[in-house]
This record gives sequence, structure tokens and C-alpha cells, in this order.
Amino acid sequence: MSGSRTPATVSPSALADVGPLLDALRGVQWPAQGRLAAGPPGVHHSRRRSTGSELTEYRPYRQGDDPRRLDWKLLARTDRAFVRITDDHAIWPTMLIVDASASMAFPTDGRTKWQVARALALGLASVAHAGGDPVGLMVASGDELARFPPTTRRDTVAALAAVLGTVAPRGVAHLGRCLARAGTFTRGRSGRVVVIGDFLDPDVPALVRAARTSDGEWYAIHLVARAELDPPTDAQVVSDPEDPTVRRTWTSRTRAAYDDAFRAWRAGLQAEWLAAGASFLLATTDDPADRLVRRVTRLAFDRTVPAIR
Amino acid sequence: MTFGAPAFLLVSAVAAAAIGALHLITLREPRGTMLPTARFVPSGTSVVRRWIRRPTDGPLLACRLAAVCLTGLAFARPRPREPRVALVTIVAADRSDDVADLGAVADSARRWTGMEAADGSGAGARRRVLLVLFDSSARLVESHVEDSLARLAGPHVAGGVVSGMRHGSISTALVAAMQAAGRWRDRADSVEMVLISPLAADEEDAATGPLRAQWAGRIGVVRVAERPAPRPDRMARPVVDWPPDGRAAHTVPRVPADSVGAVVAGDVVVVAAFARPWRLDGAGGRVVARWSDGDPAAVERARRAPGSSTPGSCERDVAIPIPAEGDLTLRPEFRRLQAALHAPCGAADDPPPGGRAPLAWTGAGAVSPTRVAMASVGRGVDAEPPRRSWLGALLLALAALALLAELAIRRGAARRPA
Repeated sequence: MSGSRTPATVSPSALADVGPLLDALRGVQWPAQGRLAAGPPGVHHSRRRSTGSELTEYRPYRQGDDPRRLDWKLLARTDRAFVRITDDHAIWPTMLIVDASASMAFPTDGRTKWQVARALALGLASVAHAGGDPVGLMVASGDELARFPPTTRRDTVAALAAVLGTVAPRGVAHLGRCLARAGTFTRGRSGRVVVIGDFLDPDVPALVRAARTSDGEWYAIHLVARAELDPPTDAQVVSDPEDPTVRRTWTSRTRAAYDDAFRAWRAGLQAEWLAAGASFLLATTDDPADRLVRRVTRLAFDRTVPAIR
Repeated sequence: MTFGAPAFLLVSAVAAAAIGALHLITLREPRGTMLPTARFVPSGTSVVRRWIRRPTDGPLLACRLAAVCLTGLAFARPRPREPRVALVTIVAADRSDDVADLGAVADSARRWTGMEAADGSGAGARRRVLLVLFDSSARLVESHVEDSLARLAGPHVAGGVVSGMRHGSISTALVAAMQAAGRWRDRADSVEMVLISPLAADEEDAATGPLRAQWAGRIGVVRVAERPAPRPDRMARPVVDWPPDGRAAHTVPRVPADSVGAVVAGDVVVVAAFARPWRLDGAGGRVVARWSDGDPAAVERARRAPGSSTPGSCERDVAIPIPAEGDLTLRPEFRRLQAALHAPCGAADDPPPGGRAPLAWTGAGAVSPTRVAMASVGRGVDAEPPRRSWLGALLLALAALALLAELAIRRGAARRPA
């Protein structure tokens, strides 16, 4: 496994193909799902009361309070001493973990899961970056792990696009290895973790366990190709691109059993993620990327999970 | 080429079509493709059936089709088509002792069939003559008809085809003739039947009429002279055995006893309700009175004088019961009946059953049934007698060879490395 792959220079052309997407997402906000701990100033509400400009409430002055927090105008009008309580705001670092296994290169004709995952990652990164949050990226592809630490640099989105542009889906993505590299993201309430992939890899249970033990916000974006939901009807031998030993005969008679098994697996996966406290979204390759990004950001307000299709 | 069981051709055609259809189904592994969710497809065979446009395994298909078609052809009983005959003439020639001159029978047969004018084989290749020689039994002569006719009229008739039977049976002749016609049903445009017989009363029986009705068309009848039967002295007085209860000699109980409405003796008819507890055996005698249903009511038998070979007087067995009550015996017709039954020997003639004349059953219409009418000729008789067909055996052998070839091809393909 290689280390981080941060491009030294970011070419503006890296964003050429996602320009319309970023334009469509302009103004979209992605708030944290709760009040954050104290941290560097940002746009997300913090549990810490501070002397900021946004008034929350007044409280009678008590001995020991900072006299600078007294509301002098109110004291002059009412002759009573009140302390002005204001909210603090903090940043909410976001780490994107993207699956780049061989199965993400499906379907071979048309829009692949990898293309959707890349657009979705860049869209979410741009939204988070627009809110002033540091955004990082880890892409697992075979034995390699491309990593971009969270940062608020101006060219962060372009840098992420450059990183994603250098990755080609292949092999088995060991997403569990991302946990070790994610550091504090997966331990404690220190940020937002977004996992984008088809969850067909063997390390998915480890990710679910990490989400269960973490206090951070976890988003699981399950990507499913339309051809997986509705495979062609003609007979063919289908094989798993990540496991050549899996070779099955697809006929019209196996369709019902396949649909049942696939649906049950998706439902179980969704239940596991939800039980771990994560927000779950099932996305198909037919869905426009900007719509998917908006749906992810709405999960911060409403965790109603769409039904399994 | 004709077929005895053409249904097998249809069966073999259907089987061949099924085999051809099976060869349009290929069992092979379909094309492979990637599917990340392949793990959710249930495990199973990786061979699928697929319809293709061109049949696979051409040599195998050819061998199988050949085996099926040859077997069906063999079971269809193919026969080379024989030349069709325009007219088949079936001559039923009476050879019984009722015929006064068998030579006249042979001459009549030759005249009718035209053997005298032609080469003796039956007036050309488009005509075929079959000879049915009958007395109480019948024998069909299909070849060498002229020789049979010559023997019939020859001096050694006793050792030839003529038997020693007393009477002929026209019913037997009709049955044999219709069976012969049935065998030629599919090979002849028309069939005509000629009966050469004296048409003696003893030669008819109850089956003659229904059998005649089964022949569609007219039957040519050549009536020859009947051999005169030895008759008793016409002037002798008969010995009449007429018990009042009708139990005369040569009677047997009628089971069950019945009744009849009239009795006929010559031109005398007596209409009354007669009970009939007894039945008269008419064999060997001349019927002089009959019941209205045809059964003999009185039979005359010749009585030979002691020490003489010629018949003398006669005896009459009368099975007509005389009612003890009523005025039947006083009625004029009954008196005439008594007179007829006591008439001198040989005076009372036997009325033919039902008053049938020979021309009555020769029938009307054409002598030869038409093609349509021939469909009913010889119904129930195989058009062609079963015969061993070397062609069928040859076809079965070829089918077996085709199956062996198919087996060899399959074994060769199995040994061949994939």
C-alpha cells in the first residue's frame, strides 16, 4: 500500500468535467447534525458559548462572570445586569472515503459507479469546502491508498479532483485500511466521515463497527448500478470482477432468486449502517450527481431513509 | 409405390421434425460478462439451452433422420405399385352335382370372359379373370384359369376339381367372390361378377339374400341346366304321414314352439292360426308345402320298391297340426290342401322360398361397380394379402446401419479432444 498521494500542483483542468456540477451546487449548505465541540471558528453551531455576535439568550449576571459580557445598554435601560450569551461556531472537518475497487468500474458501457462516486465526492467536497470545513479524501484501489489530508486550501476541490483523476478502479478495495489512516476521524467526535462505495468489499463490516464506536457523523452512500438492479434477460455467465471464482449462470429463471437475495442483502446492509448510527443513502448510477449531493446534505436535517428499491 | 400403413409415414415425419428441432437447440455455455453482484445469482449449471438458426452436428442429424425415416418407411409397408387393371371378372362357376353338364359351365365361363376370342388369358392385360369354383365350398383360382376350366369340363372330373358333394352353395360362392373382389379393390377400376349355376332351389339358403345385397351392382347370371333328380313314379299313390298333432316322421321338437299364420302348397294357401310344436327336417326330400315363413311344412321322400334301384312310390311327412276346434277343416282351401298333399307322387311342386326368381337377385344397374361403389366392395378384407416384403427388411437394415453410423460418430466425437 502506498502512502498519501497529494499532487504538488493542481491543474485547473482537473475540474473541467465537474464544473457544471459545482455550479449546480453553489449555495448548498451541509450543516452538522448536532452542536459541535469547541473548535476553530466555522459555520457549524458549537456547544461552546462565546462572545460572538449571534445572540442566543440573556442571563442574570453572576459573580465571577466576565464584565465584558455584560449588556451595558440593557443595564442602562433596566438597571439590571444581564450577561449576553452568544453561540460559538466551529468547523466540521469532512473525510471522504471512496471505494475504487474493480466492481466500481461497472457497468462497462455507460455511466460507471466510479464516475458517480467521483462526482459525488467532489460535489460533497465542494459543499463542505464552501462552508469552510476542511475536506480530506482517501481512495482505496487494490493495494493502494490515495490519501489527501483535510485542508481548507482554496484549491482543495481541484486537488481532490486531481487525486481522483489519478485513480482507476481495480482489485479489491481494503476500506478497512482507511480506518487506520483516518486517525481521529474514526475515533471520537472530530469530524464527518462519508463512505462512498458499493459495499461489496470484505472490509465493510469493519467500517460499520467503526461507525458504531465513533461519535462522529457517518454517512454511508451505497452505490448500485442500474444494471445490477435490472440485469439483462439474455442468458450469460456472470462473474465477479473482484473474485474470479464466482461464476454463475444468469438466466431468466434465476432472476427471481437473484432479486430476492440482492434485495435482502441491501436491506441488511442498510439496517447495519443505521444501527451503527450512520446516515444511509442508496444511490443508483441513474441519479444525477447534484441531486445525490443535495439528498446527502438533507440527511443532516432529516434522516428518513428512502426505501430500498 | 403404395403403402400398406401410410400412417407410419406421418409418424416418422413428425419424429424427424422433432429431431431436427432438437438439433436447433444448442447446449453451451453462454457468453461471459462481469456482474459485481454475481454472488447473489443462485448456483447452478453453467449450460443453457439456446435456439440457433442452423442445426448443429450435421452428420449426426443426417444419421438420425435417416434412421427414423427408414424405419417409418419400413413400417409403412411399401409395395411396388402394380399395373392397374381396368376390369376384374370374377366367374363363380358351379361344380356341384346340381349341374347337369360341367362342360356347359366351362363354356359359359369362356364365353363370358372372352377367352375363346383372345389368347386364353382373359382378353388382354387390362382385364383379369378370377375363377371361383364352388359346390358346398369354394376355391379361388387366380392363375391358369383356362387350365382349371379345362379340367372342370374334362373327362377326369372325379379326380380333379370336382368334389363329390351333392348340392352347391351360392352363398359360399358369393362370399369367396366378394373376398376376391376386396383384394382387387385398390388395383382395379371395376369388378364384375358372373354366376354360372343352375340356381337350383337347394343351392340357396337364408344367407344368400343378404350376401347378394352387399354386392353393389348387377351380377351376371348364366343359368345352366340342372341335373334332374331321381323322382318317384308320378302315378304312384303317396303314403301320407299326417298325424293330427303334426308330429310326423322326421320331425323334431321346435324350441320354442311358435305359431304361424299360413301354409302354402303349390297354389293352395290356407290362412289360419297354426301352432307349430314340431319342426320338419327337409333334408333329403322334396318340400311340397311350406309355412308362410319358408319353413317346410310337408316333405316328400321317394320310396324304393324292394329289390329295385329305381324309386317307386313316395311318402309324405306332413307336420301341419289339425285344429280340434273350429271350422278350418270344413273350409274349401283346407280341403284343397288335403287334396294337394294326397296328390300322386311328384305332382305337388315345391314353391321357391319367397317366390324368388333368378332375375330377382341378379340386381339392377351396371354389371361392374363404379370406382365409388367399389369402396364398399370387400369391406373388411385386406386389399392386399399380407406378404413378406423384402423392401421392408431392406429398409430396416438400412435404418440399423444409420443408427450404427450415428453411434460411431458420437463415440468418435467423445474421443476427440475438446
